[in-house]
This record gives sequence, structure tokens and C-alpha cells, in this order.
Amino acid sequence: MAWRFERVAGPFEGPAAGLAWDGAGMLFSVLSQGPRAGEGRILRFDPKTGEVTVFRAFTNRTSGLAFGRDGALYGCQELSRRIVRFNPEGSASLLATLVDGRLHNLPTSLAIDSRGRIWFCDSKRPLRTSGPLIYPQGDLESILLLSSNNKIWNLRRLAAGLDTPRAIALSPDERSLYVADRQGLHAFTIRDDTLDARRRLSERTLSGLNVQPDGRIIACAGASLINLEASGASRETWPFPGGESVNCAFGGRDLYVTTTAGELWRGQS
Amino acid sequence: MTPRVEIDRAAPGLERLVSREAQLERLHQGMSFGEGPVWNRRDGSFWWVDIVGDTIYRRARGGGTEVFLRPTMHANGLTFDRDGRLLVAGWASRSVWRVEPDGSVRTLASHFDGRRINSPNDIVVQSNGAVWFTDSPGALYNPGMEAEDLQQYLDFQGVFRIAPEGTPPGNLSAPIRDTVYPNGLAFTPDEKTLYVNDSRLGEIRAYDTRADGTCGPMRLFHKLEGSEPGIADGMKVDREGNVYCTGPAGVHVIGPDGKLLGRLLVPDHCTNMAFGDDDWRSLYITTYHALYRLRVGVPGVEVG
Repeated sequence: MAWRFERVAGPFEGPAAGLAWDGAGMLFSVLSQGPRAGEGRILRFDPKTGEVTVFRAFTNRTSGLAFGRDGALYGCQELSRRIVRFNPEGSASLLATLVDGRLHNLPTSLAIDSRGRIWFCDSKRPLRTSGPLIYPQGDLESILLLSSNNKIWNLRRLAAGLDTPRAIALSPDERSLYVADRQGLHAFTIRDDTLDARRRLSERTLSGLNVQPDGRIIACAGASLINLEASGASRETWPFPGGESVNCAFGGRDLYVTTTAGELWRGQS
Repeated sequence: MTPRVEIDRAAPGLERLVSREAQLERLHQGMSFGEGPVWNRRDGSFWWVDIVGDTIYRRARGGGTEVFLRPTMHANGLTFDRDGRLLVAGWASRSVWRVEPDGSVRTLASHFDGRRINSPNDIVVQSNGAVWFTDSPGALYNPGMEAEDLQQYLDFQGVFRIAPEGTPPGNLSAPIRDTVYPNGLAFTPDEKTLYVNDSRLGEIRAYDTRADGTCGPMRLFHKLEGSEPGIADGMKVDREGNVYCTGPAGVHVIGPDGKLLGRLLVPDHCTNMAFGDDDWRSLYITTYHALYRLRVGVPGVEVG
């Protein structure tokens, strides 16, 4: 398979990061930097018109995006160290932020399963987070699980010992959880709401993961995209002409890629 | 033992404001995030908040601390108006509210141009009765002290002015819109200039005030110095126009010309200050965890 890539939006004010397809358009996050880091945005690309509109402004470095079963968009608000729900009418809500009574670190990527549970990876990062310095970051780099019962959210740590995890994804049957960190690509077997010991599928450092309906994994690896079997075996490597890729997601049959240069690219086969 | 306050980078002129023999007296401790200090001239009580602890405290003249209100929707800056009513920069309520003489609470500002404001941070009353407050986005972003709705709707983070009573209700204007994270604010003694500090930019800005309630263009008054922990947060002015502003390592004392006179090195992270006591010559300092008092040479601008 060969992809023809073209830039469809950007560059914007900072790196482009998370992606989420709303059924007709591609949402993507843009991370602002410096004193105005709080003014990050979530933008929407409409492939029919080619137009970009603002879905949300002032997102405080919200990175990873995913739609829940309830139709709301959820995001990893890195500088606020939490997952937020972008409510359809325009407001935004807190879920749960404490693990064992302590604030977790910086979430970057999330995956939402068919039961509405939110799996996300959380890492220690050298970023100045919002608020007073009374909640220093902890040493644990983790996989955390948010689940709700009658709209009361519960947050638990399922695994730790990761090395700056950047991307997370579920297998189509929701029996495996994939996490990419600086040591490579790891798979965990999911047993109800716990994780079995991890296996390393690849030693490559990856920044974005997209699992296909047949179980194959497309991942961002800098200036190329790689296509992996569920076992981690590499099938293909596709050069990506847009510079350093961050994340990838399908919108219909097209493959969208965000870049550190703040651009949105689209690949068509 | 009460420690002497440590001072560094002192320039000539500081000694008259803060003596090298000045002692830092700890009056209370145990907060998570102290803020909002204010002296009540009417009964000699001292007030402050614990934002994370969601409490407004009141310390009676001579000691004895009590909880005035809890929960508070994470109240932040406090002041008194000319009628002695407590005004609150309602951080997580995303409003400015006032405690009436009967104890009821009245909201003075919550929306601007039909949009919800960000999260009021600190507050000051002008002698004509106008109420000015900074509207940083902290409650939308900061862990542990969040508003119920985390979305910012305004496209700026500025300084608002509530017109004096007697003018039409809802008379809220935004004289300053070019700040990133406006935090402390204070008038010069003649009220011709409003100082606003910006926590993200680490600077104190000066704006000329106009009779119609608007402000002139921004002038940079002072850039905070130091790499130690500490940010531009609370800020107060004394009767000679010297500016006391939190910053790296403690409280920075700045002359009316914008030049640093010295830094008071305060244990723990300083958040705000207030002048108080009957002669207005005590500088009360809130830190994350404690309330301190320091005697100074020049009285502060009066409140209430």
C-alpha cells in the first residue's frame, strides 16, 4: 500500500498532537507554548470544504483526544494534570484527578472502550504545570483507568514503571492494551479491569498508535509511519513527507497525521 | 524565638521601610494555600483564606482565629468596601461576591458581554467606590481548586471594574485586556495609576486611570528578579508609593520609580500581603501554609 500525503492545515502556533474523528471532520489539538501555553486549541478540519474551525480554545495544552460512547470529547489536559470532558454544549468538566489521594502526573494519550472506561498513560515531564507548586509531580509513570458509576468517576493505577509513555490504544476486541514509551511498544493483556504483565512488541520509539479493525497497528515513528502486526512484527514502513509525525488516525479511508511543526497532513491511498 | 527577616539585594532606602532588625512573627499556620489577607479597620480583626482548604479565616484583635466561612467555592482575594462589607474574589465560583450585613451573599459580577468570566483572583476598591479585580484563568486550570465548569469563554484575561453603586446594575467593564495572567493589583496613593502584576510574564505593569473608569496604555513598571521559587502574586502599595510584590524568594520592595529596593526572604512560598494594625504599619504576609506579620516604617494605603 502506498500513501499520497498532502498538508491540509497549518502550521499553527505550536505542535499539533491528538486526533479524533467526529464522523465528518477531524478534530486535532494544537499545543501552545511559553507564557500563553493555556491558550492551546482544538481545531476541526472539514474534508468536504477544506476549512479549519475552532472547536475549543483555551485548552491548557490538551493533547490526546478521544470520543466517548456518550458522544462527548475527552482530552488529556497536560498542564492541568487531568482528563477533561468537553461537554457538547460548550462547557468542560472534571472527572477524577486523585490516585491514592495524590494528583497524578501529566496525561498525554487516552483510549476509551465500549463500556466508556478511559485508559490513559501518565508521565513525569519537565513542564511547568498550572497552579501552585504544592503538588510536585511524582516519580511513577503509569497507566491509569477512569471508570464511572452513576456519574461518579473513580481513578485507579493499573501499571507503573513506564518510561515517558506517549501513546495508548486498545485492540479491537479490547483484550489488549498497547502503550508506546521510550523503551518501545508494549502490550498488556486486559483482565476485566486489571492488566497482566507486559510484553514488549517492538523496541522502536513511537509517538502515536492507531489500531485497525483487523488488529494491525499503524504507528508514528518520526519521519515515517510503520505498519505492525498485532504481534509487533513489522509489515511495512511508509516514508512521511511532513517532517516529524506525532499522531495518526483514520477519518473515513484517509489517514490523518499531526506533526511537531504544527501541521495536519492527510494520506490517501 | 521570632526570627529577624532576612533581606538581600538591599539598595539605599530600604532600611527606612524595613529595618534590618525587623522580625517576622508567625500568627497562624496549617493552611494549604493561604491567600486573601486583609485588615478590618472597623474592629481590628484580620482576615485571610485557604484557597485549597476552602475556608475564610478571621483572627480577632489580639489573637484567636476562627473559621468565618467554609466551604467558600475556593475564595481567593478579600477586601472591604467603604461600608465595611467583605468583598470576595470568588475564584472557583467565577464571580465577585459580597457579604451583606445580615450575612447573606450577593453576587456583584459573574458575566461579561453575556459570557461567564474566568476566575477572579484579587480585588481592590477605589476611593470612589469602584471595585477592580483581576480575572486570571486559574480556577479553570489549577489542580485542587477547580471551578465546576473548566471552560474559558472570554478571549482575554484582564482586569474588570465594577462601577460604583448608584450606576446601573451590571455595569461591568474591562479596562485592561492585555495581561496574560493578571494577579495582584493596587493603586498608587493618588489613584492616578493602577499597578497590575502578571504571574506568567513576571512583571508589574502600570496603567494610568481615567475619570471615566478606563485606563491608558500599559507601561512596564518593573520586571521581577531572581530564579528562586516564587511568582508575581499579591501586591500592595504604601503611602509613599513603594510597591510590595511577591516574587522569587519572597517579597520584593520596589520604589515609586520602579527600581528594586530589596527582597525580604520569607520562609515558605509567599502568596500575598496586606497592611494592617491601627497605624497601618504592619505588613501581614500569607504563604502557602502560614500567616506572618512584620513591622514596617511607612504605613500602607488604607483599606475599607
